[in-house]
Amino acid sequence: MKRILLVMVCLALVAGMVFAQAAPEANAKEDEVYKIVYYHNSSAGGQDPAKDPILKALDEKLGIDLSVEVITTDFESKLNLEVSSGNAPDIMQLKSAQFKTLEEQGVLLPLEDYLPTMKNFMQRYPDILDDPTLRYNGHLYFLNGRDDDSQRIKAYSSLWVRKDWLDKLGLAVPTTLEEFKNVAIAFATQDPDGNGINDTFGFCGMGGNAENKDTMYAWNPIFGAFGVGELNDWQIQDGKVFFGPTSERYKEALVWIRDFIATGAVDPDIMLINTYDQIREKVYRNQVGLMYMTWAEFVKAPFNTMLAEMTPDAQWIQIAPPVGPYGDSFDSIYNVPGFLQSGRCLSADLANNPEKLQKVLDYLDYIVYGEGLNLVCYGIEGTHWNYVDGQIVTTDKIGEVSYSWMHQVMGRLEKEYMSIKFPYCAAEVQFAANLPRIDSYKNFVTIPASRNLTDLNRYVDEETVRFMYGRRDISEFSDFVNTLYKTYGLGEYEEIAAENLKNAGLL
Amino acid sequence: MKDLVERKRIKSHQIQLLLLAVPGILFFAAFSYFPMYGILIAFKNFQIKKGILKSPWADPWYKYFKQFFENPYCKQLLTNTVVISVGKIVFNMFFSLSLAIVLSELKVKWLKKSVQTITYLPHFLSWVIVYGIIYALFSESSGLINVALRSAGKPTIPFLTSDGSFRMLLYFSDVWKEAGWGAIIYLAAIAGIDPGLYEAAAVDGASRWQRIWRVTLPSIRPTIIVMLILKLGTVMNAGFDQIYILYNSQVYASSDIIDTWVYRIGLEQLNYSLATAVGLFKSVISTILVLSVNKIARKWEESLW
Repeated sequence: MKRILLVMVCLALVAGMVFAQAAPEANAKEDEVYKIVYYHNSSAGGQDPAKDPILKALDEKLGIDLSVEVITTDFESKLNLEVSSGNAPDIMQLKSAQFKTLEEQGVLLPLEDYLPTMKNFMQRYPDILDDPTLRYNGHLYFLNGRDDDSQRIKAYSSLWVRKDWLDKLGLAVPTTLEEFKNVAIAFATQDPDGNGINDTFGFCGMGGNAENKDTMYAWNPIFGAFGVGELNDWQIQDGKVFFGPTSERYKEALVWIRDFIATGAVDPDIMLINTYDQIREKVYRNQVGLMYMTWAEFVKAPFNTMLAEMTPDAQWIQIAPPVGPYGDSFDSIYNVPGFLQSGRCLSADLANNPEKLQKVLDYLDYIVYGEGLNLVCYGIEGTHWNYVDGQIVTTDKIGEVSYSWMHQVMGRLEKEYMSIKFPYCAAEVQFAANLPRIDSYKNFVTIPASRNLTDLNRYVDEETVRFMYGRRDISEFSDFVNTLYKTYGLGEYEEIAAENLKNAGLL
Repeated sequence: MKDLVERKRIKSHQIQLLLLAVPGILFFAAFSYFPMYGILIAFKNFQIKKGILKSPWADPWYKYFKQFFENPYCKQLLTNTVVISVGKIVFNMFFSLSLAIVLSELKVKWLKKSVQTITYLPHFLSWVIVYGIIYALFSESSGLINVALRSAGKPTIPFLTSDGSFRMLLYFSDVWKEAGWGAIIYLAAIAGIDPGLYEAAAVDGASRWQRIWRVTLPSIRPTIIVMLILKLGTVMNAGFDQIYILYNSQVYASSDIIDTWVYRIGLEQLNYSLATAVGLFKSVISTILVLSVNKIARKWEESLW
């Protein structure tokens, strides 16, 4: 490690000498070209700036030197390191857990005074300044507004079932929890793929601790059938806010899942699966016929051609979540945007350099709506897309800008984007978008001082799995809830949630 | 007078040695001792913008240590860390040592060389790849063993998801990956044993087993003890990479260790002070362990220093 450091220092010195020669040229220009740095967190790697026509177009149009740094691993540590050494990136992507700490330390720039000067921004989000739900201590920090329902897509996920297996076994598409269970058992025991080997499972999905997903993700529609969400779900009912896992309905969902798992129809690896690759592998091997999955990782290119090649006979269809004993049917929770969210913030250091700040604001205002938004979504007009009868139609070169997500700093108009970029998925996009989802208010719950949210999450996570697998008797559910209050301070979280929601005018 | 000259000569001799050591001392000062001022973070309410020195002191100074010890998982984390660590040391040393002895007794040279190469190769694999292999073998739905069990109509075994078997999986994947590598140092020690000892033993009619027991093992005792002391220095690190990649919510109770917890706390909540306090606590424990084991070893005249 130390040796690596030494080598790095040497390299940095050499690099410094090489670049030192190039530097004066840039300074000689009359109008200073500001370098604007944006840190983006993504598991997919970014585009080489030399082969990035969107970047070139932005730099030329706005007279800036933009640098989008896509960080694939350890994003938080790298961002923190830059911030603590005084080099905070001008624009940074944050997760909600980081926000409060950085806000308290004065790293983030309050935006409410600057936004009114941004014409395009105000056109896209006319109500943003009047929305109390987005304010934290009276300030607005995130650049993300809320698109109206005509453009918003709440989620991509849904249940999927193999229609050809249903037909083969003479089963109907399941609509209730009981039918859901029966289909899963039939898939697991009646050899739906007809290969004579007992190698299929009834239900699968991502149950493990995946990045950007809570555990239990796969179980969303089952919890939804009982009107609750998976972990970390905060709901409002009868004017009161409560933590989902403490509710009676959560307990009933656990009992149902326990009995379901006991039938042996569920893939035993379900709680281990934490990548989409693992699910796709099971799909390609004909091991699963019913699963929770997102269309973006399943029927979008290149997965659509892979699916057709690997399992040409399979007919996957999306289905609505099963209806539970009280008539509830929700596909998942939907985290209502609040002042805590995953989004983009500006560095407070920019306030010391008004000229540069202006450039940053100009850049953001350019890509938030209209011409600039088209550029960062679909690439260069005339090369990657054209207007045909007033509609954007992509050319066969659109593949060159498949990395355009890294430039969508101000988000995109989801529905329009999906229909232009993935017209062949239109039906699946629409289906998932229309599914009912439970409003959840996690984005309003800050962590009480001296409490560790990680510990609370782990306890809920771990005990939920134990209840589900019958390793802890469900009669101890009330003990579980008591421990949440006594040991993990759930009461403090509840107080904070109630206060924040009241301030936001939601309670 | 003679004494003084003697002392002076030694001194100038030492100055040469000291000069030789200067680059090394500078290196450690710059990269090991200077960064240690960061330990201050454990006693401060660290704020990123203010930096280490300007952040306010924690009140009371042991605030973050208290937070760790009052954490509901503290006991479990400590137990898991120590149990997994000691388990790994025991299994790993046993298998490394056995492998080294078996290899040294092998007289067919090409076989010895190839076995040695094959057994130490896994050391260079990353845990992600090892996890792939483990998953392919032990997964309950598609792993080799369980597929065989299922087709034979027998109940499957949840290797990866039950508290009971998960630790064994940790030990044995560690042995598979590291035993060959660990054997190298013992092999070197065995190679250094005077062949005359073996010849004498053979003349006296000692069996192969007796030669191993009476000659090989006592001769490499210093190496074994030094290795043990070095390993005890890392007893509070039960292997973050391995566990972080292998564990899942079903086996937290038996596998969540201090490092994985600190990683989650540090990453999700940016609680640097707590993470540093725990790191410092770990180092203090390790230092105490190394010092005391060395003291015990000194009684057998095999100490590290």
